[in-house]
Amino acid sequence: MKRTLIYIVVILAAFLLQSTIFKFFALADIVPNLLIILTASIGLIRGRSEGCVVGFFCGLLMDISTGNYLGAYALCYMIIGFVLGYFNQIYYEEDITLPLILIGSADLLYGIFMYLVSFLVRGRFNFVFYLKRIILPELVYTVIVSIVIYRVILFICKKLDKKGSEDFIA
Amino acid sequence: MKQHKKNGGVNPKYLFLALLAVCCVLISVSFTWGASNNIVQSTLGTLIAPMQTGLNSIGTWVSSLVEDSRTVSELQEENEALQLEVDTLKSQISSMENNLSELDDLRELLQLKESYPNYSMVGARIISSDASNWYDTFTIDKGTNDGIQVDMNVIADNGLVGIVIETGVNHSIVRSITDDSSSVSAMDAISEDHCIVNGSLEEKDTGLLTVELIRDDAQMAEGNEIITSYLSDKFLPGLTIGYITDITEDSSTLTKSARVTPVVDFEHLRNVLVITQLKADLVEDEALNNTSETETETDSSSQTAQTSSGETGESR
Repeated sequence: MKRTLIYIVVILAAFLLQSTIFKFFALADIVPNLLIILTASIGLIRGRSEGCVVGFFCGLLMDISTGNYLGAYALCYMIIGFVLGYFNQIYYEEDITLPLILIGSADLLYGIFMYLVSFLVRGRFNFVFYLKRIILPELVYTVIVSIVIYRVILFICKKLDKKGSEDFIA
Repeated sequence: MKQHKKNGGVNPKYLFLALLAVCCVLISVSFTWGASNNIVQSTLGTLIAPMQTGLNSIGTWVSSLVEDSRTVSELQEENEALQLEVDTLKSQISSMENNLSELDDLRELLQLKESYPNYSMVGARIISSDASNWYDTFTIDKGTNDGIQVDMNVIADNGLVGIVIETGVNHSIVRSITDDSSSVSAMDAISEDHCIVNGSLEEKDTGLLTVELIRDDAQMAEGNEIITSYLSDKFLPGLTIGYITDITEDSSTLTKSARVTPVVDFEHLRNVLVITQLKADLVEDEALNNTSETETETDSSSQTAQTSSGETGESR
């Protein structure tokens, strides 16, 4: 229950930061994708189920803010959360390289998905432009920001784990 | 093992499949009925809008701190320049007023209706932008409570900004004309040649709009003003979009393409005006007026203007 509440707060915080304050810190009109960091990290730290649920709600928020078809983002984020959950088995807390690589590839996947779903279908064939102008800059910015954000999420997850185990013993 | 316990023993794969199904349902629902009248979307948006307002004001405050640090001499310089502009504008206004009274006289003579009536508008503040880097939509802090409806036009700096695509109680989402999926039926203000103005992500760095489907024999030239066309079914006629910067012939030689510099500064957009007059209503009103005119041919222009404003008041 407590975990659910904390997740709701964290997802909302990430979304609100991304859609308001980070717009003021956009580099070359590019905003880091905090919700991908969140989805990927939760998937990695907590496994497939939670990654997939958190991803679904992150995507739903994105869908709402865009005002386009509901569900496209949700689908993309959910799949990312689920796939990253598989890496839960080879992940250990002290390592930061694997999470960063995985967050980067998650963002790349997201970028390609977005291009396919909303640009290629409308006859925008200049993939190289979108890769250079949107996908790669976003990837770099996201990975840099995730160095900090990932640790924050890990910290929150650890705290929750401790609380959980204490409750279990009591 | 741990995971299974925490999720009440649900296998992650089944959970995944269930959510996948939910996504598919959501997508198909919004494809069938359109995204604009979605209950889930508007309720969730209503909850989020106040939080965005708060956070956005923090962002504005930070950026205003940066602006505050400008020196006095800079401000004085700007003040002088603005003063000069005020003077020139004042003289322009006085000459315009003369022209306007002349225009009214001539209109009365010709019994013409005003071509561009004064639309009623609602001011709104932008509280957040689209969270992804792919779209160019933004959220404003006015919604159905303030009489905003889907398809209302949004302007700023005397130029077209975009169109409302979704409304909630206290917020609405606006698609900017620079969005990649936006296209506006437009025309040249001087030569009245028609064209389509599209937003393009590929022009993100230049900030220009692309113009398509200009007829080969069109008299469009660089520097001409592009305004919304009366052919459009969503955009009100006569709103300025921008000025043509370059014009090229397509490889088919049947049409020409061009690029337009928008009059609105999309980079520094904070406040916008929403025109609370729908194009669809305008067309209906005109149809009504036309029928009433044929019934009683003595209707003067001022009376028809009054009835049309009364009708829009009711429909709101």
